[in-house]
Amino acid sequence: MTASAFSSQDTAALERQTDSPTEAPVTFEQIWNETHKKVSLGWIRQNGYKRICLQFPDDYLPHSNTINTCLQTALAAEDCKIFILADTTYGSCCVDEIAAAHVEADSIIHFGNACRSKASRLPVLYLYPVLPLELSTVLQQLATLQPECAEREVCVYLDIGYQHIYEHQVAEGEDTLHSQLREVLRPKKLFIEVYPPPAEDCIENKEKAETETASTAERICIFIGADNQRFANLSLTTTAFQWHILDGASGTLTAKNPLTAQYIRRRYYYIEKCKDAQTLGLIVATLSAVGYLDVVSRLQQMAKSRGIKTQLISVGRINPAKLANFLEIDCFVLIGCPFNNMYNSKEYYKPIVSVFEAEMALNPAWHMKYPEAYVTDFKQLLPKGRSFLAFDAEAVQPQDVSLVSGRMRGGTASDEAVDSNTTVATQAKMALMTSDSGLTFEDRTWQGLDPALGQTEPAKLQKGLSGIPINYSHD
Amino acid sequence: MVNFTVDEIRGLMDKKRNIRNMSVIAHVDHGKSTLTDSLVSKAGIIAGAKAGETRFTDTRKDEQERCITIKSTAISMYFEVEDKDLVFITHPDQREKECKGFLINLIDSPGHVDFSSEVTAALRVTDGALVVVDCVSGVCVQTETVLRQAIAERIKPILFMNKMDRALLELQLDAEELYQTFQRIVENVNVIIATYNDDGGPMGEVRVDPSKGSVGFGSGLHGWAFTLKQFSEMYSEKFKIDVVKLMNRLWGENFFNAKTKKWQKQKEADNKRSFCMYILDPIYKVFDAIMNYKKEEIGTLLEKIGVTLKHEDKDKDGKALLKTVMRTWLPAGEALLQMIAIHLPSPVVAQKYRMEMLYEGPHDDEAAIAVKNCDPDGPLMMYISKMVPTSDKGRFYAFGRVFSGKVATGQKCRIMGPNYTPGKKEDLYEKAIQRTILMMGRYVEAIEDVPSGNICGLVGVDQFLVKTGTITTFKDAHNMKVMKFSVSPVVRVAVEPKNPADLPKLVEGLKRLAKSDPMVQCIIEESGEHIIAGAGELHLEICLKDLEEDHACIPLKKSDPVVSYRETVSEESNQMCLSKSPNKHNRLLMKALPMPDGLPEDIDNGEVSAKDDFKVRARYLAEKYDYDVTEARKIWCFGPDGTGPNFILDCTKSVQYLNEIKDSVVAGFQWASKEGILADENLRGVRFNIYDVTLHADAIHRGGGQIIPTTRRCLYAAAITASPRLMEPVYLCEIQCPEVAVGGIYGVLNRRRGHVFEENQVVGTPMFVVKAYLPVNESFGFTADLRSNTGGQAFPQCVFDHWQVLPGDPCEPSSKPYQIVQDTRKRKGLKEGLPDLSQYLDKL
Repeated sequence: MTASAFSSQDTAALERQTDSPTEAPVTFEQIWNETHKKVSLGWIRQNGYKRICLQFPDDYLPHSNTINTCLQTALAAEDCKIFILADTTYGSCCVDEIAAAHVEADSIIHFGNACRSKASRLPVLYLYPVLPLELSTVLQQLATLQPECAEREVCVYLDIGYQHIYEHQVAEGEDTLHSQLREVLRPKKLFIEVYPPPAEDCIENKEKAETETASTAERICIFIGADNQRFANLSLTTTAFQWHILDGASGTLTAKNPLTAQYIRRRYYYIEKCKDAQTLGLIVATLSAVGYLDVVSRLQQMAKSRGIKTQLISVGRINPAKLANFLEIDCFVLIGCPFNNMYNSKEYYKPIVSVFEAEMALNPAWHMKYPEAYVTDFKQLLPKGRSFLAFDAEAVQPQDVSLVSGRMRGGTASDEAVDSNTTVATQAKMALMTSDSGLTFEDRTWQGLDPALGQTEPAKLQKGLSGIPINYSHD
Repeated sequence: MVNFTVDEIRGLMDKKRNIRNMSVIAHVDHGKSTLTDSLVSKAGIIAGAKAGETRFTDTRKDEQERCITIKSTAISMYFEVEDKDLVFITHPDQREKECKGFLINLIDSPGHVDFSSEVTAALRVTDGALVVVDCVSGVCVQTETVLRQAIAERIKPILFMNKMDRALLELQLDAEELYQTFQRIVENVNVIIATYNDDGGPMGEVRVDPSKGSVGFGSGLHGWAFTLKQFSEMYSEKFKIDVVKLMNRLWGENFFNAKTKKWQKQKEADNKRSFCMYILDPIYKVFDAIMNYKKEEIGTLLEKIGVTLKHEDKDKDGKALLKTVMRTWLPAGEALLQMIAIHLPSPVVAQKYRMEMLYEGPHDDEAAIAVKNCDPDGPLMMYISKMVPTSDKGRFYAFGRVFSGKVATGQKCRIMGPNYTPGKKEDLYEKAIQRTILMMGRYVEAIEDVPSGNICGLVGVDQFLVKTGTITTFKDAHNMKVMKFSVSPVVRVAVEPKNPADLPKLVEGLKRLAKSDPMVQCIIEESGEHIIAGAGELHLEICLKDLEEDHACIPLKKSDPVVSYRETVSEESNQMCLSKSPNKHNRLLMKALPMPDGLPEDIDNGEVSAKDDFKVRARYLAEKYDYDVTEARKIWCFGPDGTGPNFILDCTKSVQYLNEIKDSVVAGFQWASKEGILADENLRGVRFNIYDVTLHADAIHRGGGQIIPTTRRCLYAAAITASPRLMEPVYLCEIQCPEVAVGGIYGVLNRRRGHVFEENQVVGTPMFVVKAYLPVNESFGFTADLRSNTGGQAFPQCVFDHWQVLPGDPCEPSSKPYQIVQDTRKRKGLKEGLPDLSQYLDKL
């Protein structure tokens, strides 16, 4: 496919600079072994899928073709078509149904890091890498935590690469990991969980709710994996007395507490910024997560009650250049999957907050409340969610001092009664409604081309540029 | 028993020519609040015997405990002036016919330099100032500062020499010495007035003159005072000379020869200075007789000066008797009242020349004319100068001055904050005034309405204003000008709640604190720190205490005080800096260079500003700083926040589409000048030149998204290549001490990187004044250190003066600036290390 006015050239995707992977590169053996093959073939055959998409994160791409060939050969008899999705719209953790729809796929096999937001349209099979883990070293390391863990509740989370250990054991019906850990740590109570949990599983949720009721703040949590995005997400959303990361690759143990008061105070700055905004940009950066439209309308409603305008935008994968095009937007709210909504980069011209932070800024019910834990999954903020707080438009107090600018905010509210009494007579223009939306543009110096009709000499026609802007023929 | 009712006051409010709005200003510890007591007691609000001890206007508990005024306090008082004194008021706009009653709205202000913002707020709403000077210490640094501010606001000063009791009892000065001291203070004050006031200006001549009666003498503590008018009234009958003429004779080089009964102009062997002879001698005699227990003499003296002691006072002796005698003979309230009524302007007089200083809008619109005429029937124009806490936590009275029209309970008004611009809706509210009230020191009294020329408080306005604002009923009114403070919030502390879950309470408390003080800044920084910035250590101490006890009501953790730095450059960029946009289709070429000395200050002071006409500004820059006129005309904008002391200049030659990207470049510049490359601090004194720009032919590919981040990168590259430096704030520190302590001062200053640039003996006293520059960063604990090294004899006054480049290259890992940069970055949660040029600079 060559370049057209609506899509860039094929080469653009190949030339694009990707973020260098932060984790160690995966080997082929880790992401594709006999088990993976057996599971996926079984899944395809059992359900009789004919058009299957394989979705890979960027760092898995080198191996994609081999996997493709492997499946193709195995499924030669079934007349299946297999596609590789290499360029995802938002983040590689989300199942890209849009891309899959281009080839009218009937199923997706998702590799690597997954947020496990519920896919609303297509059946998905998640395949995690299998990372080696020396159980003896793990136990040895954990033994050092014993004095700390004794007589406390301990929760062990397994990162995606290590879940095979547990799952395998659960499948076999034996629970040696549980008993081994119990022996080493001697806790009051021991939980073992996989992270991210399988999506929307009702039974799982109920069980979780039970464990939550226990005093989580006193709990010791151990994450077996690496200090990555998943750990950050998990530790922010789960309160614990102390977090420990056991690096599966190196076998080292580190203590880390990301949900510190310092972190929340820092986010409070952005929450203030969000309150200050006169225009909020709601970036929809997911299309597969259920409930995003509810969140959008909820945010719009809350913003409206404060006289904040909202703009709904969808720009695909976000980057500073794309967002800086929206000069009139003061703050962005990213509506994305749980793994794709934290942007702290200083490269962005205007701050980006998560749905939870926007909720804290705009919902008066959060006004005097200090968050126990962070909420990265916006579903929890919707009715029936764990962190849902009803929004009461009456309680909104739009006048407030901003601690960022030191100014008054919510300055546009006025007694309409006074307005109509005093200004109706003087208002000569017959405008049906007045709008402030133009105000932000008033300060701009560039107001567009001056037509100067009839004042300029007719110019001779000249041949202009040809091609599309990204690649003019003369460039 | 209070001598007046609220109704009487309300009645007088309509008699605008009989109103005097005045502030009491002075150096710290010169006795403002004590002196104010004399007037308060004359008004009957406190008992006469308690005057001088109560400090009625120090309403806060900590003010009473520390014996220092922290907040300015207003009080409205009613007085009657006798007919014989009324004739001295000659100007027709200075008194209403057939009305003896005068309404004095007095604001007692703090003297400590850390609270000078309170003085500024007080001066704005008053027309006259009573400048109090301790005649023992003379004119001090803060006297000069507040006097300068008063003149700049077109506030007419009168002078009061306080603490005469100390001069007589402790210093035992003889009469001639005392006269010389007075003379010197009057001269000093007049020199300051002359420096900042133009006699031909609209305020006319404002110098103080004892022979005109605009200088008072006395002791606030003992409650006695006089002007030459009082004494010449006593003598005029005896000499058969007109009171006014005699007043002239009683001051200056006028000598009387008792033998020849002749007045002479020079000092000769057998004549005596009239001031000493007729004024000081009687006072000295009274002092001498009473303090030395000369019983018989006392009797005859009392008879001579016409004082009869009340029965209960007969047993007193020593100081107590002296006090009683002096305050019966020369009651301070009376002398002050006359000075105020005769010499301070009424609102009618003052607003005529103050309007143009007060109003931002055109000087001929309805509001301007009403203000000029102090017209109670014109549109309401009121300026809110500060917020006064109420007993209801978190709520405030909005305190201010009605310049025209009337403000009434229930009236619907437009409430305009300082960022309001006519025609727009930002910072504008239309709300009803819940209540108008009269401020009476520690009490308030409800009042129906308040006409122009008066000072009052409003209820129900506080939630729409942060600190100050304009209240009007006129739809097209512009703002009243915002106040300019003489101090800056350069000292900062970070606070956090001891219990993290109290964070929302802290945030609420900070918002309240921000309202309650005219100067304090409460900010959340991107680093997550909650910062309180104040003028000095004492100011911060008070703010923190208020925050902890009144506003947030939670235990707090406080960081050590820190200062904020500025980033600047010291040379021109050593290469042309090129940055490409993310799509590689746009290129910007820029350089950074330092501004010439003095220009950043000119921008701070508004001499050079974004509002100026670009041609006028260019000419100014060309004349004063040798800028190229054509270049200087093309300043695109100032920053940060559109007004800061940096600018970006267009030096390109005929670039296509350049005006289209101006907004994006400006946005990028505001961003980069707010968050500098070294430590995310504001930039200062940096000029950026854009030399060339290559732009994509298609508008969408040179939009904000491409240009804003690129501008920022290019500006950073330009700053890195121009030898970046850090700047630190520096105090001007004035220390008063006896000669023996001077050595100790030098030692302390040297240890703290301070340097002395002036050392003077105060003429006629054994005191020395040392002036020094002291980095704010080194000033923490300075006062205590100084006192301990000088045996408690030296008292420093520190005012932020200027920014100074911190010597050393912040890119040199062994330097001090490097350390500061790293510490700041760490505190802000930024990546430690040095900025990497290659991240910002692109190759062609």
